[in-house]
Amino acid sequence: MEVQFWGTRGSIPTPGLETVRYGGNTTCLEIRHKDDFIIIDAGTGIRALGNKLLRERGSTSDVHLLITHTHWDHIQGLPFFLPAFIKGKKLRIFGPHNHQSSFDKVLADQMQFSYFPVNFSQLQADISPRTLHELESFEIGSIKVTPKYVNHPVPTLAYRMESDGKSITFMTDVEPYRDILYGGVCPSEDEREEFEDVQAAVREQNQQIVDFAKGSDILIMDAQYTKEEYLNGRVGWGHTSIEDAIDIGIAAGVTQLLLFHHDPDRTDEQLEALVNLHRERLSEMPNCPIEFLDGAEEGKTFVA
Amino acid sequence: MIRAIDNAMDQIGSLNYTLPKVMRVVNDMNSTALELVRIIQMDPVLTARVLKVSNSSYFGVRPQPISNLRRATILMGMNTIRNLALATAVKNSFEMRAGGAVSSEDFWRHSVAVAVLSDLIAKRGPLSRQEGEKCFVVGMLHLIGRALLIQHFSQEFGRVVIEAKNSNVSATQIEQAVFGTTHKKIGMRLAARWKLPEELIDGVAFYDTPDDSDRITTWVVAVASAAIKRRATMGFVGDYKYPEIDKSIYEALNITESEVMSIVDTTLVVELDKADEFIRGD
Repeated sequence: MEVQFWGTRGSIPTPGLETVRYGGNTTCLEIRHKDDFIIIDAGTGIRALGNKLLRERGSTSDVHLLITHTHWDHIQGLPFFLPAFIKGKKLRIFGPHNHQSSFDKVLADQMQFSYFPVNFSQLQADISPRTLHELESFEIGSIKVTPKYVNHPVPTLAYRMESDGKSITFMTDVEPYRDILYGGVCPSEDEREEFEDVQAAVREQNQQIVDFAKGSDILIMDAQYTKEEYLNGRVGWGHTSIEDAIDIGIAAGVTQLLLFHHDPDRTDEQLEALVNLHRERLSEMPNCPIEFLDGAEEGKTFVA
Repeated sequence: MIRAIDNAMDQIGSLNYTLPKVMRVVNDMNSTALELVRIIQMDPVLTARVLKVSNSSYFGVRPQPISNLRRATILMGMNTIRNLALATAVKNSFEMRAGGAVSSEDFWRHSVAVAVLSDLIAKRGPLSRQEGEKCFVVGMLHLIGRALLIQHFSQEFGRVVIEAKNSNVSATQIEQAVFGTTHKKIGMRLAARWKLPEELIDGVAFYDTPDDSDRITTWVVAVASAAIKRRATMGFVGDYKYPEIDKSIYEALNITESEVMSIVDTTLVVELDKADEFIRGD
């Protein structure tokens, strides 16, 4: 099984000389195994992927698209995904449940006339959106997919793909769970019991994140900020620091860790420096399971 | 008819105080998740619903179901809990029969619009933060009497609305003819029965005749109510006439009528869109 990146940038596209290496398109991944393929997220990177699919596979093959969540940077490429315009083409879209509005309505709303000239209902492909339940696995060809809800301001799914004994876990737009009620400080002895219960809940949720990624050959993990950036005003924004991403990768015993959802302000040079810094740190760590660390790079393929 | 209204008042029971509190937390950037949890906890219906959603099959497969609000908040995050709480509180407070002369959506929209606008006006003027909060609650609840009429006497109230439309007489005056009382008198009795604060009773009584009141909260709500009634998109509560508010009231609040309308057409529209999102969906 392998993964190719079509978009790695967080929040907003960032074309330009300083982002040539890691790329400026927003989230889009292609997972391949034998003849099967899955697309994850419809950020701006999906446009080029759609063109390639039509070129290489023609207009007949079905497309399976997994959406992590419906924030702009993960769906804004959908109106430019050519396969969606082809009559009779089967486009299966999977995504998270939403408490305010249905999943398909959220997708359709970004194509209202005020925003885009073609309405969602005018797309010619045979499109069927489906909302997913936590840890209920399903198969796309030879690839087994398992979704899990993670901590982000809007309901968001992480995905684990498994095939022929290999596994790739994709976890973006996720922040470690934390005590948002007490901030880690027990307010009074009267509330001690509730406080301890909350601490336990936080630990359990974070352990579930590690368990979900357990033993992955490749973990692609949100690492938008440095720990320092995270602690200085970005707590609660729904993203993970590079340091925490590495800790999760170590705890989960993953072999390859790819840092993802690069901050729009992060230049290639800065990211390279951060990767080198942490590679060095890992190399000095005894029994570190992570054999390979890098930033996810647009265009590049990694094999599990 | 008066006896039937008394019965309806008994049926309503205790006023659901949760909605204004949840609205307050939603509108206050400084409010904390713990405050929200404490408010939800006081309302069994709301608590049950939040737990129901966090245990729904979407988040399924748990070793043990989520049994308390604190855990649900850690798991689902402040945003989701807040939106759920607000949507549920609103639905519970303004459940009205479909097909009546006034829909629950329209009634709710009007009440929220008056509440939020009152708050915005209060923030601009010489009021303390505490008074601003009171304005919000009074704005939200100043029509509780009418809510009772719409909920329990939808047919009769339908006649009031039709006559108000076809005549030059105010809906309140027609209420007096049809019910032998008005939504204002009913609202005052409800508020007194529930031991609600004085400024709320005053707001219920004088929101359309603020000259008769000496309370600044009532003046603010009066100005807000009149402004909202000028905009057809801001809900409907059965009135076709809106009162002219005396210049002296605007002067006391240090604001002009056109300034109020400009808040309505800019800031308020945005705020209400947010509120709309909350109420929609499940």
